[in-house]
Amino acid sequence: MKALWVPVVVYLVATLGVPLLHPLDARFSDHVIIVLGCTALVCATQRALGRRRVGVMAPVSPRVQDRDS
Amino acid sequence: MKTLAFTVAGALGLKLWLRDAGVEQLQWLLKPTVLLSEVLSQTPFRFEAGVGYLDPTQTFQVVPACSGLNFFFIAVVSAVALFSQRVVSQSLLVAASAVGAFALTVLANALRITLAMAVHLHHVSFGWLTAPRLHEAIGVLVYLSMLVLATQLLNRRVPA
Repeated sequence: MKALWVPVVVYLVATLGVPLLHPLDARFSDHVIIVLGCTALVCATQRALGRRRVGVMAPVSPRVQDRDS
Repeated sequence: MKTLAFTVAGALGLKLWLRDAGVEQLQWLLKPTVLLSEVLSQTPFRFEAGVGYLDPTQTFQVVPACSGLNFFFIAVVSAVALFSQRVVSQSLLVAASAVGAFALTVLANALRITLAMAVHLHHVSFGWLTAPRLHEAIGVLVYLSMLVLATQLLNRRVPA
């Protein structure tokens, strides 16, 4: 989980803080909507992929244990 | 914590120093990125001194603002923030993070430029997502996906 939120927080702070260092081509409100919207999309995809990975692996270990005993 | 503070301060200092950097000063990032973009898009770019790289139609430019410098600093800081508690040699961590961040920046930026160029050449837009907004959205999606993917892969490899 930390491997997801650490880069996301660093990315958000840096990307939304960019206008403090130099002016943007786009309007700041558009920039915020695009950055937050795309970040939510990436996070949702990553969490869904993570959940699927866990779901596939979970039933395997009990079967192996049964066979050994 | 000290290493992270040092890395953030260094990244901010370098960012301020390179704020108005021209194409020649950013060639270390722009050149490999454009070379990889040429391979991915099968499009030759032409270098123009003081401007950047132009595609054959001369309507798509890779200029200093496209260098991926911000992403490079983001990737270095992310790696240091994630692994500084797990790695003994902090100077080695910063050096390895910089090398890894450079490779990740070139790869992600080349992918972003290739996609953005395809969208630009086909005049793609979706209602509120006009061409410039779509260009920015592609940047966020590609950069953040690559960053999260890279940190998750490294997270499994580096022992806790």
